[in-house]
Amino acid sequence: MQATDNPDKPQLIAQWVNLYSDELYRWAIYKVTDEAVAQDLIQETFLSAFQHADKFQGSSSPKTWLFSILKNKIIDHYRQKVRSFASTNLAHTEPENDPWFDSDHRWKDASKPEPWDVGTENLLDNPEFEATLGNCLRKLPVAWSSCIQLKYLNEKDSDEICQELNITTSNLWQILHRAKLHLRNCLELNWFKP
Amino acid sequence: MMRLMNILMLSCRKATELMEKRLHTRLRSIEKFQLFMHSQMCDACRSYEKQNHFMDDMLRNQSKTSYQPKSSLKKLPDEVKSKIIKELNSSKIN
Repeated sequence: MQATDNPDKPQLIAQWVNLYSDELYRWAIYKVTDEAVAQDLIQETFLSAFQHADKFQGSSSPKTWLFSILKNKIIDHYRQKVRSFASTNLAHTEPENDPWFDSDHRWKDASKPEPWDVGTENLLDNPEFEATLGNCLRKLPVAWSSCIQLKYLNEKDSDEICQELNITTSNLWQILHRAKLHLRNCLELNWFKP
Repeated sequence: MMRLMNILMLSCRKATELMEKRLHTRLRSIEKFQLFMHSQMCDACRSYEKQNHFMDDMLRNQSKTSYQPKSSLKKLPDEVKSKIIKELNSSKIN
């Protein structure tokens, strides 16, 4: 399917928007939370798709192709977000009153992880759990949740993420580690041991 | 002997940090060994590791473009769809 020099371009555009925009939108909202931002990203995705229609060779489905464009738009969104934080701000991973570890870096009694009683199977398909996880991610400091999103959306490029954030790789683990400690606690309070 | 113990003994904070590191890159041999030793002795860190793996799976999965969010059935508002169609048709992108 060639979108360029296609006499049916208006139909094709309308067709793609009608077929795929809702699914794209749902994922975008889930990834960025803000509906207005998600709408902008969808608009940019379609614009970019038709600008680079020559690159779409029909080797993947239009849906797959549109999703990969949207993913890059979301990554850019988080890059910009993360850039607005000074690196000192991001690297501040060692709070004076550490909620989890004592001065010897052992678990504090109150925060010692214990096995969860509730099973973790099939939670990926559970709408309530998905909402809980989303809420817990939103409760993290924006710099941390942006790091998580960038890391997981853009898995292969830890080094690139570190360069952009102006931090070292070891620092990225520390940020992710801190973020996960909070996320774990939030999931425990809201799902596993309410 | 004390020095050897210090090398082998990780704190819980360091151990859980290495668990995070391991999810994203290879650990050095000494780190693998340290982590193994620590996990043998520390129930809390073993629980943490299991839970951390679970969070990692969830985050990895929902970052895939094929992931279908379950908690919302929102649709892109019609006026936004019309606007996109209109803009694309009027733009001279080809």
